Amino acid sequence: MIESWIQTHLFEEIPEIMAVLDREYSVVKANRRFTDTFGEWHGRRCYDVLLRKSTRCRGCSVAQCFADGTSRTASANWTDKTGRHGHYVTRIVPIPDGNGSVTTHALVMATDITRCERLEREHQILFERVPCYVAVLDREFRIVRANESLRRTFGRKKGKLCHEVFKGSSVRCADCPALRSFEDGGVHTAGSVGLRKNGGSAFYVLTTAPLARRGEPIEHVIEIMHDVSDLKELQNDLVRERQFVAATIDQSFDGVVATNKRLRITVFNPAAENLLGITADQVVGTKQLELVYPELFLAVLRQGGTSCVLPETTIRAQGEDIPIRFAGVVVRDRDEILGTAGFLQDLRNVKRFEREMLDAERLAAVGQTVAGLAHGVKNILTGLEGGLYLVRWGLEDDRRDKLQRGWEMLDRNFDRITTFVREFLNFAKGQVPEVEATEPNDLVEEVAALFEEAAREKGVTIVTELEEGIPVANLDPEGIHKCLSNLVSNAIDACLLSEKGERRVVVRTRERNGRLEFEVEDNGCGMDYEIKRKVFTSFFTTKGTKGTGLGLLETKKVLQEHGGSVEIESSPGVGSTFRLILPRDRLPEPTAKDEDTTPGGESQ
Amino acid sequence: MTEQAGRAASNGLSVIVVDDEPDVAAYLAAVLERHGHTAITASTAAEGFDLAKKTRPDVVCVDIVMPEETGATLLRRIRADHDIGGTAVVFITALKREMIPVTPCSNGEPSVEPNAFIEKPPNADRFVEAVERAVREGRNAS
Repeated sequence: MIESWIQTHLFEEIPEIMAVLDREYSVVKANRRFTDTFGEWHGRRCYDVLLRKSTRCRGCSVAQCFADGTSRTASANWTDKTGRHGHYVTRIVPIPDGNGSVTTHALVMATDITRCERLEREHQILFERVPCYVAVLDREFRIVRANESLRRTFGRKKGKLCHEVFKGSSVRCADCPALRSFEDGGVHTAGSVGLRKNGGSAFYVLTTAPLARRGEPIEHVIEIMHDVSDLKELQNDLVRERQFVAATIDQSFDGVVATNKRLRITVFNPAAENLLGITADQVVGTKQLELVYPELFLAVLRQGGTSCVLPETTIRAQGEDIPIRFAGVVVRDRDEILGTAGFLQDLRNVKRFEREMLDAERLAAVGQTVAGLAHGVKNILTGLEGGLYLVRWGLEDDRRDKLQRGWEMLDRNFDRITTFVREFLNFAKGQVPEVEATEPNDLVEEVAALFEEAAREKGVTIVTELEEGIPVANLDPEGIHKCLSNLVSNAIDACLLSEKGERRVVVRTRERNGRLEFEVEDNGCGMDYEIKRKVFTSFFTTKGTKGTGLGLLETKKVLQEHGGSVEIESSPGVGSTFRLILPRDRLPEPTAKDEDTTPGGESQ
Repeated sequence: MTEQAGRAASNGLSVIVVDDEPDVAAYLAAVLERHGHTAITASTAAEGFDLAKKTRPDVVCVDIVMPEETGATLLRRIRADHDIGGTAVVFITALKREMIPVTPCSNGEPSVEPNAFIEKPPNADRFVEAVERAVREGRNAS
């Protein structure tokens, strides 16, 4: 019964591929698995069915089987009915004729090993190429297999003991995870330091696992070591970097303050302690930002800004407003704050130095004034003396003509000295400028309005060209008003000396590169080099007895008090431009009301 | 000065006073006149040079600091002139002598010195003395 089932069904039911070929290599019989895999075969040659070829393969195993009548095992690559290539292990068995002398047919049996082969290859690649050291140990802790990475780092050490290879040690490590895996069949992990073949240290994390199913005796353990030396090196670098940054911040002349993302103060260097008069202990770890950042930066922080540079600001500390230069950053990742940092430069010394410079300039101006004064007064005195001389001559010699001339001279010079003294008192009185926030354009409008009428009567047009949006400036409005009046008055006079038909005075304002500029331009007679050189030194006047020569000197003085300067462009016959230049960062502080302020005096 | 132009009689000197301050010029001219000299005035260096060429005076008294041409320029022009190069020149100035950069010339010409300096305001007698001495010494030197 069983015999007959085997005879009739085995061929069909076996899970192997089976086919019978005749000596012409035609498939004469094939089982279901064969048909399922390769499709229709009736009347076709084996190479046609299995390889879609029209000729027999070279070194055909079936041909050899027909030749020598013996069985053989071979491997083959065939293409199935869907066109997919597969790898097969084949067994070819000769089938003799009735009396057993001639092989008339061959039985071909094949097993598909495509998937096995792929897995093996995957394993091989994984084992060799994984960026870890991988070793397989036997129960004696000998390395029976090692991957490429391990061999590269520790050398070819197959058959050697694990601790010899990794540590250069003759005894097993104290807390050996491989031993534990052998003992309990579990997976274990530990950190360790090994010795590379080049002598350097290798930091790695080691994982061991048994190479057996649960319950089976463990013959081998696999060790996988992940090298973290680079990470360790980076960590060390980071520590060194932090130490360097900390030392730099500590030694900085500028105050350095920083917070973390929760706005707790984390950095507060000694310079900041000095400047603000508080110790790091008092603020580090707290959120007292108002103590360490200027108000404007806190506003930037609240409004979602990212940076803030304040060339000149103040911060309240130790009961006073300390002038500082400040730069702050808010490091953000979209809406989230990652941290803040601020740099505070103490401007007290700079301010003091600037003040001293201004004082020195002011003193120089006073010196020039005094020198010039001597010249101006001497001329008038000589005039008076001349008058007296002529009067005396007239009286002594009874010469009425001399008396008359002398009297006229006395009269004239008396007038001159009166005017001179009055103007000089005005000049001297302006020593303390009253500084307040002033609209530059308003000043120009006022001056232009003041002279418009008088100028028109003399045939001179006054034009204003005012730049829009000029911010208010800390100016002594009276002083600047006087300067502009002097310049406009001079410009009108210069126009009167010119032959031109259209006489024009232009008054301009502009803001450029942090400087506020006033300009008075005329198309009058202009000045040659000698006059240009002299206009600001002493009591120089080209107006004969009509001018005292104080106007431009006063203009220069007022500008110097504002930390500014005066420029002249002029050519004879073309006209002149006087430019008042006021660098914003040198402008004085507004005068404190109801306080005794002495120029040049220390306010501390 | 309208009284007497040109050469004075007998021992009187003929003088040109140049000063941009008309009263100063008038005063100095009056002083000279009262001491028996003849003086005419000019208010610019250019005018002074023209007058000097025209009247050939014994001495030119000139203010140093003047707009346009200075006294020093006038001195150089006189010294460089063929006709009046030997004329005595006296500087009158409100500046201290040390403050006056008469020499050297910026353009490399040989430096020139005036015959005398008189400070402003001058004492009348000393002024006349200085002018007379300058002329005397100038004549002796040549």
